[in-house]
Amino acid sequence: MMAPEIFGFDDLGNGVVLDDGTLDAASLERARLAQANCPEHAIFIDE
Amino acid sequence: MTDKPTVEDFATDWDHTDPTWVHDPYPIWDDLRQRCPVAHTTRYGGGWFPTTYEDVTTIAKDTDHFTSRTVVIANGRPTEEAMPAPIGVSPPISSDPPFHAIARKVVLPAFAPGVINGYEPTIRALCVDLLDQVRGQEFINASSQYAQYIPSGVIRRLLGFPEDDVDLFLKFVHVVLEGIDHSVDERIEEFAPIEAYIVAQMEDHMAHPRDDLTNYLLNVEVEGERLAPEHVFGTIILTLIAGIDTTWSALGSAIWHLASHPEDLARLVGEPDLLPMAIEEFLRFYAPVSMARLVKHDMEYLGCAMKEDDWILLGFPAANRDPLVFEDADTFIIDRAENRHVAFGLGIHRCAGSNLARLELRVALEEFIARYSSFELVDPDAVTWSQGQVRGPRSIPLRVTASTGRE
Repeated sequence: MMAPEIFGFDDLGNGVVLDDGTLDAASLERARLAQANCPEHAIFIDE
Repeated sequence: MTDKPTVEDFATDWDHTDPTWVHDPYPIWDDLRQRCPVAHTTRYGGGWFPTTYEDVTTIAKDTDHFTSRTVVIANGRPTEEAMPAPIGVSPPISSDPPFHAIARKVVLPAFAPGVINGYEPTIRALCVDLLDQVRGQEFINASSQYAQYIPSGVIRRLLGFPEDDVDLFLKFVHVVLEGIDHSVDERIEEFAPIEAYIVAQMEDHMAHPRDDLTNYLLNVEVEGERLAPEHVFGTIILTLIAGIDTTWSALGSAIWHLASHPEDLARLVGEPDLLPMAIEEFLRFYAPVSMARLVKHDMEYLGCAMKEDDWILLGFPAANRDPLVFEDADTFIIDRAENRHVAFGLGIHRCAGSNLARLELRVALEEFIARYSSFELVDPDAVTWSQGQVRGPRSIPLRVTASTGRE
């Protein structure tokens, strides 16, 4: 999966955000790429 | 078999089993996307084919106006007798809300990444064994000697069915997915041995329980009650059909592509870390699966006068070629970074087995490329394609031009 340091899965295999979802600059870039690849448009980034 | 006239205009008379479509559907879809964009047919009792990303995704998410009571287009509509809506013949793919959520929650834990990742050594051993069987041969068939036996072998283990029955599953898959233009009576007759086989497997698992998906489905409880036998039966059928043809097709298309695009093969051989990204582009460019819906009630929708029980062919592969969403949509770009493809569908019916499919694709391609660093098609015209809603090469005669000779 993309950005495994940011996202994980629950027991049903649904995607979840690990920790509290706060991102540093490097992981922000990875999160944006994950967002651009999510067919469900399920990733939101607050800045 | 019914004799059908060749399609003259796919905008008003589309047929996904027409030889032109089976041979190369992409120019047809590009043409329809520009001038329709929702095509119509009176075949199969009437149906519609949306071709844009927006229309395909809109319908995929709209469970108010469309039912999933059946997802494979055929000449007959399913009767309400066996398993009525909202359950359908093969839950959860055939289920509508609210039952769908219950049926999906039953299967999801079995296909979650944490569980599926545990299959990697098994899948790798299966791939290595298949490659060992053709060791040293200059000519191999990447579909019938490799790709078809990977998902079928994996699903067999998952369900706990006998090892010798894999070829039987491949026959079942062919009957269900490619016999769609047969008459209703022929379909019932063809389906009887599949039904008898699965019922026998269920009985054997009840008499001799073991740790596999079949026994999980037989034992799992929803609100204190076990699933109805028809529900277990339907989910087993779903796993068998949806788990085999799909991944076989995606894997076959990927190998076929590499055999005819030496520059992409060389890149993957040189940069194995690129494989996960390449797999997403294989999935976008050669998405194997289209699903079907039925229109619930007469209505005007996307500018079309849809009638109750009209089919919708949900062309995820066509959506993946929409130039409004994908830059250079008809170009295969092995390192495409932004790739919001819908090869696994989307919405509540999004493929539950996508983690397994991606794992099988990665391991099978890793092992294939590790063994053969260079290969080509013996004859491009000798490659044959499946017909219907799952598209993939069924015969891929290859000549191996560089083998690592890995023991």
